Amino acid sequence: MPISGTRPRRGEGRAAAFFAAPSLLGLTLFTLFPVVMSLVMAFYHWPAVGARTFAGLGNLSTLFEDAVFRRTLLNTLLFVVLYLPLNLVVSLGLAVWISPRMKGRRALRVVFFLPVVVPMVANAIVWRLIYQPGGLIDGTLHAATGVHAPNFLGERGWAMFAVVAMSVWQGFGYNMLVFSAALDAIPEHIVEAAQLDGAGPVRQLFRITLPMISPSMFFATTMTLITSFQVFTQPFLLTGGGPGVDTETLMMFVYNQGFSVFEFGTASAAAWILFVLILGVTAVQFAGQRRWVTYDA
Amino acid sequence: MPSRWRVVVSHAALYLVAAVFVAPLVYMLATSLKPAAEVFGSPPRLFGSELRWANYREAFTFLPFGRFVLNGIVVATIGTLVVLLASSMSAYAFAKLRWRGRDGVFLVFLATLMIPQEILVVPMFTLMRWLGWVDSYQALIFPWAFTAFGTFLLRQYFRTIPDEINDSARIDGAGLVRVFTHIMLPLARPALAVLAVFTFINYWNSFLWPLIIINSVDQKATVPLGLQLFFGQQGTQWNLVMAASVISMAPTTLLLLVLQKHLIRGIATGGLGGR
Amino acid sequence: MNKTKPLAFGVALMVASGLLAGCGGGDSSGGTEGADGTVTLTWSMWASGTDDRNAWQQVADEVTAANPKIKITLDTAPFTDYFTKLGTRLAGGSAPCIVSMQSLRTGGYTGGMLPLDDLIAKHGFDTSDFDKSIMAGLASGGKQYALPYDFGSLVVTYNKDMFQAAGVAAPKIGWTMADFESAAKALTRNGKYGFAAYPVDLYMFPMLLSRTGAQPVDDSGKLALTGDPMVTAFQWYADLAAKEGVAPKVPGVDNNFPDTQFLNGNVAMSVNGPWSVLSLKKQAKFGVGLATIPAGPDGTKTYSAGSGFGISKSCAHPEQAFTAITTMTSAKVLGELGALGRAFPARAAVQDQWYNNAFPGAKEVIDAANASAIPFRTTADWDQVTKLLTQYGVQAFNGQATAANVLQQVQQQAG
Repeated sequence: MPISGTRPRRGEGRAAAFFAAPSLLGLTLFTLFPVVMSLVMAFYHWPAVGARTFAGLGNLSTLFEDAVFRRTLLNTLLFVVLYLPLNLVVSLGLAVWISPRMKGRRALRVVFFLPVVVPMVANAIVWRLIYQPGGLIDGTLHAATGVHAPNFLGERGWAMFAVVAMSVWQGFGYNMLVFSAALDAIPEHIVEAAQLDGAGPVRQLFRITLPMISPSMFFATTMTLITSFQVFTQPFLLTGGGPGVDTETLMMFVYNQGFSVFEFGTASAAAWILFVLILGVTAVQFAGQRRWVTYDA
Repeated sequence: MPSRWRVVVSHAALYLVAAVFVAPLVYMLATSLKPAAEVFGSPPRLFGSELRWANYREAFTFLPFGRFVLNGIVVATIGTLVVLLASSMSAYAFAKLRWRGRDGVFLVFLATLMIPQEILVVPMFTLMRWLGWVDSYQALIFPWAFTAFGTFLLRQYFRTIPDEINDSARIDGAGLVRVFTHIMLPLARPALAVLAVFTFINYWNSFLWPLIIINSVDQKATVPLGLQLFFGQQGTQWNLVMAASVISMAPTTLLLLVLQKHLIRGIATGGLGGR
Repeated sequence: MNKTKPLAFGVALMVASGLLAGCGGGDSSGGTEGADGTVTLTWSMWASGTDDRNAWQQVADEVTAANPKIKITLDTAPFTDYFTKLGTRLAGGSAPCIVSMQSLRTGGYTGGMLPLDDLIAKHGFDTSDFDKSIMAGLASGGKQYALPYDFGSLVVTYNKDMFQAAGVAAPKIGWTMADFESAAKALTRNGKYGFAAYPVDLYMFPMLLSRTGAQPVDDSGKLALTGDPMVTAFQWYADLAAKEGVAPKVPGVDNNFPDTQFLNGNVAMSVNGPWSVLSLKKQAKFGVGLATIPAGPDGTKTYSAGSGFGISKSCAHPEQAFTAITTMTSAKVLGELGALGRAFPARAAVQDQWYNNAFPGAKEVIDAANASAIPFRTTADWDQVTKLLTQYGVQAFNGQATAANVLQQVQQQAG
């Protein structure tokens, strides 16, 4: 019969150091060090090839005077404003729709989650084929009505919407699963009580369901906000940032500056601007949390 | 009461929506089986004049696609192993061992989760040059293997394992390492599975970093980067690209189908803030 | 506590091997020397597809066959990425020893490449058989930076079957812009188009040159896109898609667009160079013909461009690298490449090999094009320019921006 007693405390510090070492070392080398380097680079003219010179805040002013940078900032905001609500509404709507015990529920969840695990490049390739003149949408429309579809990826006014639509298709499955799990966790008796009180489905939705899953909504909104600010692969592969600079996002700007123009200084500065933006928006989210998120006691 | 009808209609509509939703992927599959000349047909048809399975074979000969798949598997597997090892070890340190400053260090750990990839790519590239790792497998594997995400996930799970199990093992004479390998790891299998699946999928699908760091594309490219190569050719062979795309989604789709329970549970628990 | 040892070992090994593996494999002076004196050099080249790569691997093998002490490791990248990465590779210490270079881009990379004049003199290497224009194309500031393997003038490729079906006469040498436009109109029927227009440098600028004599780079080597002749020509070219409807709408950035459209039988004509003959022959399911660029008010004009092999400054074995590139540009190797259709040989002596395997009637067209060609010159940041041209140019082709507008944007950002 084991004697329950106090655990040996001596030496755990050393053991802990050993166990945590790989992670801590890796984190220091591959995360902390690059972050510091990135901050330093932001204050320099740092060409990939050649001498570097101190620039102070010069990079910041260069960026804000650059019409292309300002446009990418705008484009990124536009993408977020279009993508976030659409993603949340679709994922929540479908989660609610699938919510009651129904057959094939698990299969449906898997289907909607599929594009999330497919490599983005593959998704982008097939959507190129769907969007382009002569592709699926254009071909079907033309065959049915004789009219040609707009050039979704090549025309101003359409390109950003095309990118947003494809992104929503690809990404909402994740949030849908989060919401689904949260909906499942709502205790039955609360729902039943509401129904007994005569609350209709809409009332139930707004008064009971949404508040009860608000922690998950908060999580989903925050994560989706963060990732939508960082959007890169979809516009990169679908439109290359075009037409003109209509769909070039901040992350694409950072990539171009760093690996096309090979100016690491401005690239880092732009990356930090993006980071600060994300931090600000996230802080606002956290601050507002008190207002609309109810954590059950 | 019409509610029965409503339910049936609602379910049917839902299935319809799901069918429309999955149409692009079906289109990908269908186009992958078409002969090259029939990819753009008007009106568009789902199937061409024949089911050309040879496209799949040709996708491998047109470009060294088999090489890309191999690279993807090697990088993702080794990366996942590194992540599992490093994360479980540090999670053990943070969850089960007692030492001064433990919680403070963990907070710093967590804070690094906020650091996004865009900040890291440029200095990481410079770091790779200093280490001589440009255009190497190490560069694909190690830089992203030490994030705090795995530690966070596993620590949550380790904390749910009762201390008594550890204590009685220690009293029986087991060392810390033995407790780790014989008790913690086996008990944490579900969480390890979730972490493994997420990590593998992330490595497999990764595009931006290989784009930046790989120069000898035909030797070291992973699958997404390799897929993009099909566009660098004279005359894009859409049917072959589609075949390659289908191949590229096979491993992750397979993982999803086989391990859906784990994945869904992982998202559910992760999504609720690790309660 | 002894039990921690094996695990500690494992972890230490993991980290150490990770770092060490880097130190070993990452060394890239571009070449290594083996114990028996064999030198292994890296050679970077652009290639599209396995066939292409195999052709270049063959060349690499020839080097070793002729010089047993020299081995070549070939690494290829798609053309669109090759030059983007070359700049940092040359400066960042991961440069290959043997660098493939395109004539029009030579000016931008002289900082990282070794001038070959001394080596040529030292080895008494005879360069008289090389075409003069491409030798000049691969030189800059009076120094020779690469030995050429191919060159060619841009021409029009056309789909013989489509021409026949539409009852349009095949283009003759020296046909005019008016002939071209009427042919394009007649060929635009049944959902197909006459021509593939797209703002990619090598395919577009010859047409503009012929149309109004406009050149993208002025005599001092600076970008000059906003002059009237350039704007007029660009507007005409973009209008082929936007207004005249004889060219298909451009679907955003897709550098393969003209080639894909031509090979799919969607358009009847496209611009291309002799280096595409291999893939055209292999992939086209129709008869392919060649024609000169349509003649403008000053007759037919076109650009010539070509490629060659140079040596990076950081190469530790320049002597062996030079020997290698002399083999790679030898009559034997160039003849083989010509026979494959992969390159129009830069050596006059073996150009017949290309002609023998090309399309009937090709020789006359190529000769006429070569006679009227001027070398294509670009700026040092040409990679940026091409990227901006396609990114912004697409709008002009869809009728949503004027040529003046687009060209001004590109000039402003890259000029």
